[in-house]
This record gives sequence, structure tokens and C-alpha cells, in this order.
Amino acid sequence: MAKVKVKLHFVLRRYGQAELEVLELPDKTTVQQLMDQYGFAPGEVGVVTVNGKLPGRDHELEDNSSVEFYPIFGGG
Amino acid sequence: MALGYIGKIAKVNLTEGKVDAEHPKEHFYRRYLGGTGIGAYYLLKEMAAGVDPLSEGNVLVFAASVITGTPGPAIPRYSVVAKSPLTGTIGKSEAGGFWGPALKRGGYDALVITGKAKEPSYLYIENGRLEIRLAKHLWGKSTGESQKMLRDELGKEIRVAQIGPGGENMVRYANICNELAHFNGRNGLGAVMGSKNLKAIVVKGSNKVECHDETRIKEITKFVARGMKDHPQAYGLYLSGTPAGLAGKNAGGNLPTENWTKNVFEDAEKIGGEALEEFFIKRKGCYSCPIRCKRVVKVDQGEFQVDPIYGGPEYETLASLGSNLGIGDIRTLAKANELCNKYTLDTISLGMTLSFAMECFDKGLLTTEDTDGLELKFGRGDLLLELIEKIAFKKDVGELLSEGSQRLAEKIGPEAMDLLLAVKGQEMPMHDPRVKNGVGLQFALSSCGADHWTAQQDPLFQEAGSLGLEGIKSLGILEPIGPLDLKGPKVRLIYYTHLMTLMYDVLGICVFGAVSRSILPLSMVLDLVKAATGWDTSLWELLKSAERTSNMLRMFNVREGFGRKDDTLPKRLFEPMATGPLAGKNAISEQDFNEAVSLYYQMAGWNEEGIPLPGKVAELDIDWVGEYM
Repeated sequence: MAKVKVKLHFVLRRYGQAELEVLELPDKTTVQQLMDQYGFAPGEVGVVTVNGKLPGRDHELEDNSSVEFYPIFGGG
Repeated sequence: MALGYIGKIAKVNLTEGKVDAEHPKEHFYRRYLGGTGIGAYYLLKEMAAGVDPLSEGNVLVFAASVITGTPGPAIPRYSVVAKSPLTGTIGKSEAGGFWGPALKRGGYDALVITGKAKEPSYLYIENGRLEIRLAKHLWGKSTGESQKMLRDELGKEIRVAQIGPGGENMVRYANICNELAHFNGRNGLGAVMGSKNLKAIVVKGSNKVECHDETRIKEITKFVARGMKDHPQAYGLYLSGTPAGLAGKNAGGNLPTENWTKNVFEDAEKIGGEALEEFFIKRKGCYSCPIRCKRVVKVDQGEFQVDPIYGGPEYETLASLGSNLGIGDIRTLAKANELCNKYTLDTISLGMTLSFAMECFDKGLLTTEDTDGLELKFGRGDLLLELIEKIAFKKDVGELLSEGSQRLAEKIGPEAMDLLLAVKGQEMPMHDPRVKNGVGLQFALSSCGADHWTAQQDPLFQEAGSLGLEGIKSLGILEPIGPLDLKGPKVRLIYYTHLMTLMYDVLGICVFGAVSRSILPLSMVLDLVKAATGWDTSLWELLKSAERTSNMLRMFNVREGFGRKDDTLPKRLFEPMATGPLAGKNAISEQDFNEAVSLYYQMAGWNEEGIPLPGKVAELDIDWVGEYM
């Protein structure tokens, strides 16, 4: 199992119990699988960072990873 | 009987002090719809080529649309159109708020203003009557002071579009403000008002805008009000407004920082949506809009106070004056926003002119000899506040900075041109095309210089099933398209969403109300026009009207000597990101970009120089423009 810290920003907070959550995930859980677990609407997430980097959605999360989800921003 | 529109356009000659009116026929409204469509029509017909935008030869149009002032949702906008003193192209800018609907309720669809008043003046409109009045007592006053004086004099129900000292002093990026917190922000149109000695346009309107089917219009407003909280993008705008965008841009490695020499800002958390919440006091919105995306802030403790009558900073302001200048203090940014709103300065062009000057200073291209002793360094909040005052009143170095970044670059010399981040003389908004290449096409091809609402933005269309993509399937865009693509499908996406977005502009619909950025579907946009006017129209006809306007804008610019050479991007965008998670990546390929421009021209029916072909002009029924070329 991998312990993963997840932070949901702004409008995405409604998908979680708290702004910052610590989840126990099966090993090799990908970013996309974590997103599916939250059930975000398609296209609602604009940026995902893992430990401050921008890996693809097939990236496998390691123990102690810190994941942050930011809403899509298509023009301000 | 006219439905939706009034059927009356005022012609105001300020030189002669003469007021007249035209009563266009139904086909005029059906062809041009409103806003920029009407504006471009009058500019092409009534202005000679080569006119100095700050001379009395410029023509200034304020225009609402055939659905403005009805109880439909998110239709608060009106356009101001004139030749831009910043770019020399046609200038256009939309503002929300309450003034546009009030103009219709006051008995006019549009105002066409020519000449120059001998003394400071304002226009007063009340239920179909228009007077030119003296504004000597208002000249030199801030927007807040002027609005209060006018309300004391004329009643609280008036709506005021006006300029502050920035416009009076003809800063080339001065804007026009209504209700102190809504702006025709870009292209320096406030300076055009200043050049005409026109301080304000005051409207008092109590007439109802008659509609064909008001029940249907109200149903659509209810649909938006009820559905808004279940629509992630509309709800996001309601919940946090545009400032929420800053954190994601920083995390994504594309937050414009220190004149775009960096792509992440270490103090981003201190100036984003969460930081602003400390001073948030209430939401505000526009006429008949349930989304209410505006955030009003108040600062009443500490070094300085910020008056909530001026609203609060949007994302563009937080980034252009914050990260872009290396300033990580939210109070300073709230104060800077208030000052810009008092003086009517466009925060994007202001921030980008200052950041350009700061990079020049950093590289030794400007010295204290050029700046009256001021050290133009990034990260100095006190300097920002001082410079806003100097620019608005054109004092000392403020005079130089009031001309915008391109004129400053031309003055400094060729080595400064590489640091310039402007297209056709207008400074780039806070969206880095290196992470969304279609935005680069928008910036390059926009008729009024770099503009982030010429089309819709790439990220909305990258995922199957996303609301952005679903919203435009009726245009025939069916598959997701990646943000770093510049091939045929992307060019088509940008061209089609350009027409859609310009259709919103001519109809006065807010981009934060309708697809792809928000909730109102295209089918209901069509229903609104049908219900307001009674026309048996179609999305085809409305998009053709937008295409007509797009070509009229283009032809105005051709007449002024603009062409392919001007449809380009700043050098820095063809270089990789410098810092952050995308460092060393994401340079736009110059070859791909040039091919995309050619492809866009072909899709638009333009030749290799970007000039509309005779067949396109005939198809759009604007052959008449040929007489004025």
C-alpha cells in the first residue's frame, strides 16, 4: 500500500472529505485511477502535480507522494 | 414594431454640438446584430483611412445588441469600438455590468460619436432623449468621485460609463469603466474618450425592451440559475471567481512571472484566490446574471485602505501586476487594482508595460537617466503604486510608460524588441501560449492585438466527454484535441470558436455565461435571439453574422496597412520555458505556427497576405466595404 497526500483546490474540494486528505492506495495506483476514485467530471481537472512535478496520468504513485488537483482554467 | 432592438441609433457630433438619430431597418439589425458588428459598420463607413486615433477624426461607437436589456441570463455586455490609439488597428472591447442594458432601456441600440467637444462634456440619455452637457466640474476627478457627483445631481438610478484621469490624459491603454468595477478594458478606448473631451455617458432608462416571447427568455434564465451549481465551470466562477486560476497556472509551470522570464512565482500562494479571500466581503454580478463571478474586496487595516466600491482584482490583474512584476503582496495588488479602477488604466497593458521596462532596466537598456532616478526593479510594491499615479497623470517617467510597451521598445532600439511581449502593439494577457498553442493563434490573428477572448482556449477541449467539448459538438467539433497541437483540427477549432466567441460579442453575451467556459448551451443562445426578435433565425445565420464582423474588422485593418507581417508572436514564445516543471520545454515551433496561420487564412477565405478574397466578401454580403477601401 502507498500512503498518498491529496490536496483538492477550489471548486474540486466538493469531491473530498477535506481540503487535505491522506489516502492509503494499492501499490502502483496511477494518477488516472486516483482521479476515477474521486469521480471528477471529465475535463474538470486542469492540472495535476505529483511532488510538484507534472507527470502523465499513467504515472504510478509511490509511497509518501503528494498529489494536488487544480480545476480547469480555460480563460480568465 | 421592432422586437428585441429599439430601432434607433444616435449620431453625436461633438465638434458641432449636434445630436441626430438614424432608424435602421430590420435587415440592418439582422445582418449586424449589435456590438462590434454595428461598431465596425460605422467605422468603415464614417472614418477615413490613416486617421490619428487621438484626433477628432476618430469615430467612437458604443453598441448593445438585439437581445441586450431583455431578462435573459448573462447578456450584460456592450462593445466600444474605435480606432485604437494603442495598436492603430480597429479597437474593440466588451464590458459587462449594467450600462449596456440601460442604454437599450434608455431608448438607443447604439451611439456613434464623432468630432471633439470644445470643453469637457458628458452625454445624458433619458428615455429616447440625448443631450450634450458640460462636464468641467467632473474633469480631473476619479471615477468614484465623478459617479457620486453625477448620482447626487441626477439620481441614483443612472448608469455611468466614464473615464478617469488616465483616459483624460490619453494614456494609450486607458480603459472605460461602468459602475466603477466593469471595464471596456483593452485597446486604450478610454484615451479616445479623453481625446474627444468626453468624460462620461450617463444613461437613465426605464423603458421595457419589448420581446417576441418573454416567457421563453425567462425560462432560459431559470435554467441557468437552477443548473449553475451543478455545472463545474459556472459553479467554479461563482464560488471563487477568476482569481482561482492563478494557483493552477503556477503549479502547471505557466504563470507569467517577471516579464515572462520565469514561469513559476515563488510567492504565488500569497497573491492567488485563497490569499484574496482574507479581504473578500461579497460577490457581485452583472445585469440579469445568476453566476455573479465578481469578488468585492475591502482592506481597512494596515498600511493602506482599499475601497470596496471599486470591486476587486481579477486573475488577469493579480498575474499582470503580481507575478509578472515579482510582487507577492496581495494588499498591494488590491490597492493597485483600486487605483487603476479610479484612474481607468487597463491592468494587463499596465503590468506588461512595466514588466517590459523592468526587464530593460535589468539588462541596462534603460537607466536611471531615463526614469527620473527611479530604479525600475521587479518585486517593489511601493514602486508599482507610485508608477500608477505617475502614469495616470503623465508625470515624469509616467509619460514614457503611458505610451505602452511597443512604443517604448521602438524608442529604446532593436535590442529591446526581443524582450517585447505584444502583438500589433497590444500587450499579451496572462495566458502563455506555450502550454496552449491555440491561444497563440488567437493572439496572433486577433484584429485588435493580443487578446485572450478572440476564441476559446485549448484546455477546454482536450478530454473526451468534457463540458467544453460537449458544448461545441453542434459546431461539428467532435473529437478531443491536445493543447500542444497546431495542425488542421486545432486551426479549425480556433476558427470555429472564434466565430462563436465573436457571435457572443456581437450579441452582448458574456463568455463566462455560455459554452465552452460556462453553462448556457448554443441551442439556448439561438432561442434567446428568436425569443427576443421573433426572427426564424438559425445558428448558421448568427455565426455568419459573426464571420461578417470578423471580416469587417480584418478589412478595416487592411485599409490601415496591416497584413500577414503583423499576424505573428513575440520571439520569447518560440523559446522554451525558462523555469519550473516545464523548464527547457514547450517552445512553439515557428514552422508549425506559420503553417497554422496559412491554414487559418485558407479556412477563413483570405489570401496569403490575410486579405479577404472577393468570394468571401460577396458571400458575407459586405461588398459595400469595397467602396471604402
